[in-house]
Amino acid sequence: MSEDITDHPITTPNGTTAEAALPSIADVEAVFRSPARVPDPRTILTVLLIINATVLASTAQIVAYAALLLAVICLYTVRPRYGLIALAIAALGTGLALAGQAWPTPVLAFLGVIGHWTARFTATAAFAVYALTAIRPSVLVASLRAARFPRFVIVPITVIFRMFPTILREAGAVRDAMTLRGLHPGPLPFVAHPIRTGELLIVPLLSSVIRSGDELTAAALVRGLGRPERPTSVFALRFSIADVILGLAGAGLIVLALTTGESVA
Amino acid sequence: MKAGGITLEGAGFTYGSVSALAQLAAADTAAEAGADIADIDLDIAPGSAVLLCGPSGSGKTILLRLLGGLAPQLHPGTVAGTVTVSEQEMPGLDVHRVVEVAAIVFQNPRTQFFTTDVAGELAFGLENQGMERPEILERIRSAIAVTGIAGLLDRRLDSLSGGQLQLVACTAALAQRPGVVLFDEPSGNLSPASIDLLATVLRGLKDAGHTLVIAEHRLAYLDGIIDRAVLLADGHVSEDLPADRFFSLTDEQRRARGLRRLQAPTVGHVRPTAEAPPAPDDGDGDGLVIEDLTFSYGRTLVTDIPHMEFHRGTITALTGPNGAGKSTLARLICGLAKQDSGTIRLDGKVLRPRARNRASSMVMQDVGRQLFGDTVTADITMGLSATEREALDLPALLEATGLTGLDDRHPQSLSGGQRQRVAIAATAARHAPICLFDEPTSGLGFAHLLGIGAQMRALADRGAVVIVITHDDELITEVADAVITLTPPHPRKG
Repeated sequence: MSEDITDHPITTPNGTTAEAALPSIADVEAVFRSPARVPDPRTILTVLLIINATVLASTAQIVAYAALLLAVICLYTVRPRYGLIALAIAALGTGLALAGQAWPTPVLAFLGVIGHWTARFTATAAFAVYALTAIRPSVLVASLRAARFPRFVIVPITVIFRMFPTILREAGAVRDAMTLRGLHPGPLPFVAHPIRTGELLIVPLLSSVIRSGDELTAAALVRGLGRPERPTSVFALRFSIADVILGLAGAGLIVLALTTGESVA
Repeated sequence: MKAGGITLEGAGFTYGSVSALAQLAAADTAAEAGADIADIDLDIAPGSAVLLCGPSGSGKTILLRLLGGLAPQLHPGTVAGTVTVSEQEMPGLDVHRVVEVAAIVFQNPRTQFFTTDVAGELAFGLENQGMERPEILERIRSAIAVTGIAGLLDRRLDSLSGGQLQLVACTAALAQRPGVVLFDEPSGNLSPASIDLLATVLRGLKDAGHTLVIAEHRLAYLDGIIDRAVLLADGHVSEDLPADRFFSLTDEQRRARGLRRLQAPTVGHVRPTAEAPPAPDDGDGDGLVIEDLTFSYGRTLVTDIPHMEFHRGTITALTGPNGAGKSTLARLICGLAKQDSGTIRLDGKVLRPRARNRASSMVMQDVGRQLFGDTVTADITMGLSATEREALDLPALLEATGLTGLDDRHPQSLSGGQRQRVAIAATAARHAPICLFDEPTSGLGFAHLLGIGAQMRALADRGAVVIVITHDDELITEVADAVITLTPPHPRKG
């Protein structure tokens, strides 16, 4: 409910004045095309796999730094603040790791190991957040359809994108209701009585999510979800300069991991 | 497929099924939807607009589900007679083939979309039919020409208001080019400004030659749109009136039929009432007093209230356009949000958020979220201290809230109206001095509206500060003692 509907003046829909405001086919088509600065979902998901694989498999520190740099830059393009937060977390982790190497007291060595892995996982986490933010679910579905993925893969993915925010919103509302009933859902009661608190949260949450799910199912079915014919996709898929850049960066990461990996071995 | 005629002969529907499990599920949906229907004869001409109305539980919803092919496929039960929509026999039709015959706009704008952005949603039904790209684009373009939402095309659905979402739903329905568009209480969750827009779009759909069947509780906005009103009572057609006769029913006649009012209030949408006059002494005035309250999300100022009062024993309606900060103010009052600056006092005493949590109770719009007990009794008494339990006269409370005999039921198994009354009973049991109601009458009929009004009055008569956030001007006229209209704050520098 971020803004009132009157922010978007509506033309009178009786055909006479609407003619002036009638968008051209090109206008409509433009909406179904991603801007050139956003890579295709397939590129993003491939690079996500590459970052995960290289950061976890390679022992060379330079690979982790390179992956982190790539992830932070990507995240910065869509959510500058998140990008900086990821950078700060990684810097803290790296700092601890270096301190642990420089002064290997038991405590610092322990913190150093944690810092080392925090920095590495920040790269994958930051890129995953980037993927979730940058990928438009409709475009993802279109690309999966284009790749001829079966329906039993595509529909669950759509539902995850659709229901996840709903579940979070409902959980927040249930938490509010618990607070007002004096059933404080803070961390302490949760640790003290995990099952009791969990039950209080889960039953209303499930009931309201199931209700939403039923309504959603009805709405989707009457609009032809599950029809026998193969669904088409109106979203235009194309590879742009952004895909070239991101793809090259991913390829570079592989090369780096392979070459540094060899030198370590 | 433009045919669009609808014929029902001796049509009926009884919830229920052969299997025990399905029976349980059916009992649940029946509790939601109300009574079964029987012996419905209707003939709706192509291109006409028909209103289905009647009290809650009269059978509007199930009749619409029958027309839309949702019953018996998704809501198990037994069908009698024949139901024909656009020359298609509906009972027994695969649900995914409904798209060829009819489009449905549902009540809840938040749960009728399958994708996350407007453009994807408009294309969804067409893509499912395997339509080619140029045809999809052309259909979306011409649907937008009727509903006028070109400005929303590139938006994400979660950034739209309820009213905007209903217009998107109408556009998606139109792009399917069905003969028939069915509406299940489309104004249920909308503000008066959004209802005006919905009315404009409905008129556009009708002018474009679609057959419209609209099940509704709110009626006034349909004057000039519908050709005919079909009144249902106890699952039967009780009256079938042409629009001019329907809208000239007197106030007494429509009340006797359990209908909401037929004319919009003459002066604006709500009674023009200024904020309550300032208290004579602002030190220990009774009730809730807000001073210089501000609150921002990030850098966006959403609340900026120099002075506002809510008195004990008074029902105050809090209204205003979407984005005016009504929900945020409610969260601030009950301490779910912490103000950036300013004070909230109750009976002269400044309350911090924790204290406001304890002093407040709220009946939420979706009450399913706030029912925690495994029986009605357990839910009502949950969170009460031993002495509070002692003092509680449970049978009287159950009686007053119309829950007698349901005390051992699981709250989540009750109908929507019953669940709401459990939440109200839990509120009453806590004796909280501040009682908030968030849109309690969305999608409810006249009798329920009066019932909720009576519950609020009972709380106020016990001395509580009762605040109701609502768009429902009829609720305001029926029960509110004072009206506060919030407007979005002007951004201030610094």
